[in-house]
Parts: sequence; structure tokens; C-alpha cells
Amino acid sequence: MYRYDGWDAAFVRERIARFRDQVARRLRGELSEEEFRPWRLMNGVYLQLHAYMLRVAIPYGTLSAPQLRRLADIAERYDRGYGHFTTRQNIQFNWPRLVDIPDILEALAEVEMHAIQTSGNCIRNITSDPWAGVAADEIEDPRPWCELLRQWSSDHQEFTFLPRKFKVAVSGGLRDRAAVRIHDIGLRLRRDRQGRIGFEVLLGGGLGRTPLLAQTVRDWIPGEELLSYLTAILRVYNRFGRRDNKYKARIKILVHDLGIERFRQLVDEEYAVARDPDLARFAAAEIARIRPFFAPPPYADRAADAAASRHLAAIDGTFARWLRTNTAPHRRRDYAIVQISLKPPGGVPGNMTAAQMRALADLAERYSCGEIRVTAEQNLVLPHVARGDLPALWEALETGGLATPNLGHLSDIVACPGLDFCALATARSIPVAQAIGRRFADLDRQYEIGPLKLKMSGCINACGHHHVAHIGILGLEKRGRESYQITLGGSGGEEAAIGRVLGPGFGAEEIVDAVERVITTYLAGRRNREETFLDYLRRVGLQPFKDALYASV
Amino acid sequence: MPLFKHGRFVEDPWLFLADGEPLPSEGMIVLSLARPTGVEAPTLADRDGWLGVRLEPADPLEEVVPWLPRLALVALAFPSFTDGRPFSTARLLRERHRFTGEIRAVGRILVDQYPFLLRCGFDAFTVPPGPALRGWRERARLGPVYQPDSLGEVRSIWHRRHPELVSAS
Amino acid sequence: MNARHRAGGTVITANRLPDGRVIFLGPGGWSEDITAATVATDAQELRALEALARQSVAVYEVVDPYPVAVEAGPDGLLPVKLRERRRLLGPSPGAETVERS
Repeated sequence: MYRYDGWDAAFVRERIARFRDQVARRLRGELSEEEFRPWRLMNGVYLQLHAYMLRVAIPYGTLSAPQLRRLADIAERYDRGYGHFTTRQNIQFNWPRLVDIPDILEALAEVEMHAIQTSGNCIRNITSDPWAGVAADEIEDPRPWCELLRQWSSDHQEFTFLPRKFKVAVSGGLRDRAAVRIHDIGLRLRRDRQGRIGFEVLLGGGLGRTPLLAQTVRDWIPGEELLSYLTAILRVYNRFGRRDNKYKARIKILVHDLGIERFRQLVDEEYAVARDPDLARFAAAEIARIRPFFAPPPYADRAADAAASRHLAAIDGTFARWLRTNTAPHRRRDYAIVQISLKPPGGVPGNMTAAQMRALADLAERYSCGEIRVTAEQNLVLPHVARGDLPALWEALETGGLATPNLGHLSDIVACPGLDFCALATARSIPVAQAIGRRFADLDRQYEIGPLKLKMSGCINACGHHHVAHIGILGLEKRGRESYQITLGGSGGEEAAIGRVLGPGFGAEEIVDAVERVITTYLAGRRNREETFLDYLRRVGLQPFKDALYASV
Repeated sequence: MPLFKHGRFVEDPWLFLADGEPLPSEGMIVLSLARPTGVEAPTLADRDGWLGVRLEPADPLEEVVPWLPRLALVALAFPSFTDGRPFSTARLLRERHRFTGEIRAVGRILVDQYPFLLRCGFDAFTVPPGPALRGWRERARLGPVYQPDSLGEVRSIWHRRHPELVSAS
Repeated sequence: MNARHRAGGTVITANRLPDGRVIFLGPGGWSEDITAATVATDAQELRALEALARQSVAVYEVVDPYPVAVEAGPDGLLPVKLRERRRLLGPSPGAETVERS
């Protein structure tokens, strides 16, 4: 993985020194809250419901074992012994004191981590495919490009006071595993006919109160031209994006208002003059410098014992179901991608204790070339596990409570922190997710139901991505009580779609039953087990579900 | 209003005129965009003395471009320090229109924005009088940055890593 | 519980600047304990409380103070609004992951 040189280290040190000074000035009253807020946010610090919160970037979702251990240390020393992984390859700490945050940032910098631009109206942490470098369908590893973009966007002189936040994702596979269509800019690596690397550029996606999927603004741009092209897009946005209403300030609204054709024309006009050969030369030189950091690890040839996991699966059903749900094909046939569910029955989605972090760091060193990945669905990945090691790894994960075999199934719930922590939330997410997880804890029943994505958000800002869930739940407040609205038929990734609202919301005590009725409606109506929830829904529409949920009322 | 330029506070030789105020026959004056593009255009074109224009963030840049050869100063207004439009305007003035006069930030700016402003081409900053002045003396400096600016005035991290590309540019 | 705490009214809340914790304004200053809060029952009392809170902002103790309507609950004062109740009570039981022993 990428390692800082002296300049990267100096840049991060300077940022921390500046923030330490800003915190000191805030505490002395030299900065008002209004003047302090942009700097606090651009260092990942929110003021939440009960305390400050710190959001730490996991750049392109790749973590080393020492980095994960450092997160454990921070969780214990400065927080309450756990961290919360988000839907954008970040980890959040819920209880740090403002006065400690510069020290926390120093502790992160020692292991080459940071919280730079994890919030604020700037270019946020660039996210990527959690299977980068190991997926069988990969065109090229997207992470060197993410690192180039990290550098280019950090303290960008022109694009740090945008109308609103700006999220970029880069996908390197034939299949999209970075949710590029729900980002302000989604980049898909593509080769042209001559085999040159470049990008398809998608623009204007995002969830929140106006959910929209990104549209292609350019089929292909050569890799070294990427920075000039992004400059053109961001310049059009920075100059003409709305600043009078924060709910209409995202680039998706500007794209929607102007239309993609007009927006493309503006960007092309700007690009024609903004095209900067120096920037292209620097990008090419940096990519060449960065690429070797992401070379594959020195894999041992493990073809000889690769069958061990098949043998154990044949006699141990518990292992077999974990193997089926939680592992995926690696580009090497004697290796596997192992997915770690952070959704145990009744657990808080995305949470991990310091002890679990340390245990997983040890396992990563032993079995995964020291590497861990973070997914957009609040789970973790060990990307380089020899198939021969799967039985031993599985046993160790079981001991640590990290082997829940529910990946891609109903209880693999995505949930934002909701009103238990978030200052913007209108209803709680966590207790509802826990109740659904407990109701559907029976794994055989989940397997019977088949692939299903349930995601919930505690307010209209949609951090829990409920719009792109097969079953989405949105928590609102209705007359002083929590009310949960169901949306059906959304989908992330390849066949992205925005879900449709089923009808009026349900109270906290009714929502789990309502989800259950959605499930039984599907099970009763599907043609066979091969017809997934989403297939069924696309065949029959919302009506059978409406009948089941509202007809009796 | 105290004026910060080239690392220190200096006397401001410019007179900023409100829209109703009569034009003095000589002296360095700054006007809103409405005046050089309005009925006073011929008078201003003939006038001796240095001229500056003040642009609000929403003012169309194209309208000031024909005047740039006549201007020694463009003041870009920040109604709020979170309004990032002038950052783009300054870069366009410097990098696209090759404006070499003074680009001044006026209105609400914070000393913490100095490194961003400087790299976009601002070279003068009006600072509200009061305790902020000391902050500007102490904190207006530039740390390590990744992005080259196309004027090549800042030695970026990328410049330092790839010195072979610097001579080529 | 005094008469005002039984009747309800308005208290002033804020977050403490150095650590962000939720606090309420009372006669003895700011406290994490809502029962130590001063309850304003009319506009004049509220204005006086707000003036006090502004002084705390001016000396950099607290962030963004604002009024919260409260009513009598079984165990003392309880904010009327859902969000403010959660803010007072903290995360739901079980909403924080703690070390398994």
C-alpha cells in the first residue's frame, strides 16, 4: 500500500499544526463558532447530539494492521472503546473532546492516517472498490488514481469553499463496487481501443432529499487529463452552483436544472481552455511514482493445500455456510477474498470494539499480508487469504465474534447512527436495525429469503443509503413520535435504482412487523427460489406489498 | 481598512467610490462593475489616473475582461468567507486573462484562508481593524502544498518530487 | 423538585466548548444535570436566562445555546421534543458497542 514520503508527512504535520492553533484560538475566543466551523469540519470534527465526533478517513478503503491497531488505541484512550465504520470508508469516534483532537490527529499521522476533508464543503475522502487489486474483473487497480486525487484535492486552492460537499468515487472493475452512480462524480476506469487507461466520468449522483443517479458526462477521458477535466467540472460548479439554499447546493441540482447536455457544454468549454499540459505531466509522473506501492503482495503458492477448505466444508455445515456467504473469488485461484460482517445479530451495524480491531489486525498479519479493507456497506474485508488458511481463519474469527455468515442477506443491515448520536437525525436507526436483526437472526430463514439489502437512515439526508436498498427504511418524526417509512426496489452498484415509497410510515413498535410482512409477501408470491426479492418486485410492482401492509388498516 | 500586502500592513493608496459618488478628476479609484460598463464608460476611458474595479461574486466576469488592460486593480468581494466563488474568479483573471495588476480580497476573509487566496492569485487583503491584525502578521504564511499553480510561482510538492518537469514547463 | 419543575417551562441548553458535552444553565452556572437548570416560566425570565447564556458564549465556555421546552416527567424535568429528550438521555441502551468480557 501507499507510504508517505517526507512531503506527505510534512503536509499532514502542517495541517495538524494549523488545526491545533485554530482549536487554541477557538478556546481563547479569538475565533467564533462560525469562523471555526469550516476548519473544524475540514478536520473531520462535528458537534453532534451529545459530544464532538471525529470522522477519520480510510483512504480508498485500505488499512494496514498497524493502522487498525492504532484505531483501537484511539478508541480506548480517547473514546469509549469502539469505533463506527460508515458508508464512505471512514471510521467515526463518538466521544472525543475537542481539546484532545489535535493529539488524536498526531497519533493518526504517526501511522500515515488523517481526518482531512472528511467533512466540510470541499472534496471529501475519495472512495473506491474494497476489492481493488484482488478482484478478478479488474481493469486496473483504482487506488493509485485515488491517491493522486487525494493529493490533488487536499487543501485545493480553488475548491475548498464549494457550495456544498463533493464526493468522488473511483471504480476499477467491470462491475461497479464503489457506488459511482450515487456520487457527485463517479469515475470508472476504462481502456480505449489502443489500450490506454482512462475514465468514464459520471456526474450528479447523490441521495439526500433529492435522490438522483449520476449520468455519464464523458465516455472517456485519458488518465493524465483527469485532473484538468475535474478542474473544469468543479470550476463550473464552484462558479454557478447555488449558494442561497443548502438543500439545492449540490452539483446534482445544477446538473438537473441545466440538463446534462448544457452542463456538458459548459464543462467542455471550460476544459478546452483549462486544459493544462503541466498538470497532465505531473499527473503522469505521480501515477508512475504511486503505482508500485500498490503492487500485489508476494503471494506464496498455495495451490497444494487449496482444497483444505473444500474438505472441511464437506463435513462442517457451519463452516460451509460461512464459506458460501462470506468469501468471494480472488484473482488467484489458490486465494480468496474474505468478508467480515460487522452485523452480528442484535449488534450495532458497523461498530467494532478495540479488542476486535486488535484481533483482526493480528489475523490480517497472519493470513492476509497485513491488509484489511473497509466497504461501503459497513463491513471489512481480508483481501489476500490463502484457501488453505480459511479453516483456521474462520475458527479465529468465530472466537472474536467476527464470523457472522450473513453477507448480502437481510441482517447485513446498513444503518446510520441516527438520533442516538446525530444532531441532524429525526429518528433512531440503531434500535430498529437491532430489532430487525434479532427478528431475522435465524440464518436458515435468511438464506431461504435469499440476497437482500436492507438499509436505513435516521433522516432525509440518507446517510444510511435507504434510497438504494431493496428494502429501505427512513426514520422521520411525526407529531413527536418516531415514524418509519418503507421504500422498495432501490439498488446500488451495477443496476442502480432509486427505491419508491410504499406508503405512510410505521411507528417504532410496528416497523419490524411491517418488514416481516414485506418478506412474507415476497416469499408467498415468488415463482421459485431463483426469483430474488428484487426480481419479484420488478415483476409485480408495489401493489402486493401495499395490499399486505395497508389493506387491513 | 488596514491593507495587508507582501507580508505586511501598508498604506492603501486607492479610493473606493460608492455608486452615487462623483468621479474625482485624478487619483486612484475603485468602482463597482456597473460604472465602467454603464453611461460613464466614455468618461472613464478618457480619464487619467489609475482605475480599479470591484466585483461581487455573481458579477459576470466577461464584462470586466475588455477593461482589464486599463485596470491596475481588481477587488473581489467576499460577502461571506464561505463563498468560494472569488477563488475561481482570481485564478481566471491571473491564469486565463493574464491580469498582472493587484487582485485584492475585500469583505469577510479569515487569515486561515490566506494560503488558498495567495495560490489563486490574490496579492492584497483588506483586514477588518481589531485583534485580527496581529493574527495576519503571525499566521499569513504558506505551508507545503500539492497543487502547482499554472503561474509556477509556488514550489509545490509535485514540483519538488519531479524537478525534471519544472524546466519543461 | 420545586413548583416550577413540576409545572414545566423553558430551560437553556448548550454544548460545553472544550468537550462538547450537553449542559443546562442554572443559578450555579452550567451543569450536565438538568435538575440543576433554571426553568423560565414567562418571556421575561427567558430573556434574562438568554442574556446570561450569551455572556457564556462571550467568554468561550459554551457553543450555540438555545431554549428547550420542558415538562414534568416521572423522574424530573423532561424536554418535550423527541430530539431534546434523546440529547438529555444519551444513546439508547445497547446503542453503544462495549467490550465483551
